[in-house]
Amino acid sequence: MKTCDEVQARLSAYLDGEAADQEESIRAHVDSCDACRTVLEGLRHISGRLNDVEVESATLVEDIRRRIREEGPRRRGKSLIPKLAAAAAVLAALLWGAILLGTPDDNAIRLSDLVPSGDLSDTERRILNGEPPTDDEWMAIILSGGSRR
Amino acid sequence: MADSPNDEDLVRSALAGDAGAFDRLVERYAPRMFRMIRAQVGDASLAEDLLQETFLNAFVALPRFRFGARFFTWFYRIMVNTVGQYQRKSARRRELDAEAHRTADPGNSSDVLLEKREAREKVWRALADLPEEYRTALLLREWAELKYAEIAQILGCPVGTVDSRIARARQMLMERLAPDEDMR
Repeated sequence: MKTCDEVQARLSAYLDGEAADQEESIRAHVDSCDACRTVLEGLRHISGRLNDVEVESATLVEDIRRRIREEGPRRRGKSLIPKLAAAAAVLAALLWGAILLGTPDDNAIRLSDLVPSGDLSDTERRILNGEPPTDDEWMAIILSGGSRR
Repeated sequence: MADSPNDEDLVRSALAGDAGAFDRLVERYAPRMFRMIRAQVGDASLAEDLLQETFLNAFVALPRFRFGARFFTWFYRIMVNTVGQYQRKSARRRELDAEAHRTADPGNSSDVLLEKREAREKVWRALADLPEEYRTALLLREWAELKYAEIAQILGCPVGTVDSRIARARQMLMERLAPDEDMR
């Protein structure tokens, strides 16, 4: 670590404790260099200002707790609807297939085949056929409150 | 500090029916997540609404939390999705809400408080002016107190990129928030 430019390029990481292998040389340089020390103080100042930004609402936490008490259990129940529907659909498909088409797997009718093509998204088709949603699909289901659109 | 349960323990307790455990997570993350959302949307009132939605979505999704992953990383992703969905669907309404909030805000008559508020507003504006990828990396470091490697994992980029984004963000803020400006 020799020049001020090199040191200053690493000061931000140094401030965060992320310049471990260069920490000693940076510290030694800063101790003896007014210009780099000023830059480091400037970075600390910015960090201080960011952390000086207060949360203005005194009821922030309580408001969240209240909404979770009021809406959380209902929303959680609602988000289970697609899962329950998928499970029921799988069961119905299995029964339907066993009764009407016999047991061989390659002959089993898939429930999604009963819905006109174009009415289902890929995700809905796969859920209807008994595949569990991926994490991203669950996120989309939760964000939509269980509704299709 | 030593007897404070970690996030994952709180998730386990919440899933076992302990309502107080999720409350602890709210207490732990509401202030810093509020600031992160506010930096993203620019309006305090809207940020509060989106913060509540984020926690509600996390509460709903909690049974799907995979132990072994870090809670904050999972929760942060829910926040990004929640805010992103709102921004996509309600861009116009968001502008109107923000405008209504600004015009309804009575302000504060005390000079000192006004000065403080102004100084804070300056910080919010400076943050809003940063490119999003710089701002996100910086705030995950400053407010979420994550290590560069964790930020890289969340953002899906190399650690070196996180390093340079944070350094660049700080440099830009230094240019906008010089030490000789008003600040208390």
